Amino acid sequence: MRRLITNVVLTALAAASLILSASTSAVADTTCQVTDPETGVCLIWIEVPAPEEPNDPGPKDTGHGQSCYWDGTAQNIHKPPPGPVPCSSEYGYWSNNYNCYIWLVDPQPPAGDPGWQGHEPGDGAVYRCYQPQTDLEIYMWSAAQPPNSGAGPTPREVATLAIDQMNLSAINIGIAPKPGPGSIGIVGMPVWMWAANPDSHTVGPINASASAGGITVTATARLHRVTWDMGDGAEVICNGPGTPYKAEYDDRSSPTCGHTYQKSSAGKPGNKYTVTATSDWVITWAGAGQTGTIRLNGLTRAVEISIGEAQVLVN
Amino acid sequence: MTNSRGVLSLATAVLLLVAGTSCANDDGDPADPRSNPPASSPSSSSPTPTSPSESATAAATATVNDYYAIRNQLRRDPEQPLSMLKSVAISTELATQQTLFKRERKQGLHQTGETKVVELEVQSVNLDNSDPQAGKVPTVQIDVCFDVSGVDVLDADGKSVVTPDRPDTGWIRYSVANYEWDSDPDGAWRVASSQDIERTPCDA
Repeated sequence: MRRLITNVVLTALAAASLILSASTSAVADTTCQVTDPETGVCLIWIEVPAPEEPNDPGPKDTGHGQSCYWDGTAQNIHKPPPGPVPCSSEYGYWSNNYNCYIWLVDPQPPAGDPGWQGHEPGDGAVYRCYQPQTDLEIYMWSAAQPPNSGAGPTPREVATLAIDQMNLSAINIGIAPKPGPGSIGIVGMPVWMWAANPDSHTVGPINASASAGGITVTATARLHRVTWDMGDGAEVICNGPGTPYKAEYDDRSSPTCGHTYQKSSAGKPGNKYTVTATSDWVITWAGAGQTGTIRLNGLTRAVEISIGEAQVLVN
Repeated sequence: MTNSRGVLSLATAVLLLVAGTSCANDDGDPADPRSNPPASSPSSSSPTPTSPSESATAAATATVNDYYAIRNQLRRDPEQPLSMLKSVAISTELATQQTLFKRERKQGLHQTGETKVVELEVQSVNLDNSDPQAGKVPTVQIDVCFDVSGVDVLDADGKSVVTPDRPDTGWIRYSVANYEWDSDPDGAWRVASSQDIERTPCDA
């Protein structure tokens, strides 16, 4: 009887692993198909596949945004709302710092003109600052030419500075069976993968702000999915960080991110599979009266695991 | 800078002249700058210039009168080309007036009546021409008292857009400069900048 149960369990696990391997999304749950009446122990676990859905690619990268923008909120002007403006017009070039079009007065006004603001001709220069949004026109003195925001960074480039501050990194790989000597998985048994010791730098969310060229951007990064290269030719894409394995789960499959090897790792370099996890981040940014999305892919970490054949002894 | 100040102290003269040209508009028949080129024809009522400073004063004074005449023209008739301003204004004044008139025309505004120059007082003359493009340019400062009692600005529906508390008269200080002093000391005077000043209202 005991042998029979063993065979049934192994068969069920094999069947489950087939289901799992056919579904690379690994977004699935397990349920008990039949329970031993006497012990209450589940005899057969089955996979309940998640509804078939296309692998969610997530939001698209929205590009650079426009480097020149109007924002009248500091002047308590809300119409027009903050947003991009042409970087040049008949009024000159746009400066985010001054929130207006800048034009070097040509020729320069005579000495004593209020635009000199007490300076003498030859010391700096007088510029016109014109806001077409408000028809506000100001003549101002500046020692140096006000920055041309059209030659400055785009919101995406500023967002990249914010991303640099986040110190995003690849996930710490959690995998069962554990990597390293003395641990070996079995062909046909579920493998669990997850982000170990998750924190804001490895799975998010994390916020950061950066400023450059008169643009301030706030960015929020979230781990969108992890692509697992299992080393046997299979690629498993898992949305989110996965579910850490616990001993009480026994032979269940991961409900969120798993794989089942069909062959042992014998013959592979070091007789191990190299499992690589690549993080795919979605970073949303807001600034310069615009919003956008940056996709960041390529943060990678790898471990090696051993997978062996299970031997069922039958007397 | 030292040289500039030296020139300034030598060339500056506070003349406080009440120019006779201020009466040019009083007869209600302003000069037509199209038929009477402004920059090249200083007021005939000015005394015969005897020095560069006096010559500059006469030419700058004429320019101010022509400037008012052209402003009246452009605002009364939106069909008139704004490029006419270039014959009487330059630098910040030209930019400001062009922006103003473009906006008014876009809004469908036009002027009725004429702004008159009631008094015109030359305050100083500075013939420093060491770096015209940088602003070290021969300049005559002139205070003008204007009279707008006969002026209204109407929108496309004929409704006045003039603020109710607009004073009928006021003073503006103009800097009239000649950026082509070397080649055209008499004909290239232009209004280069302006600012409101607080003075006792003149009699309209």
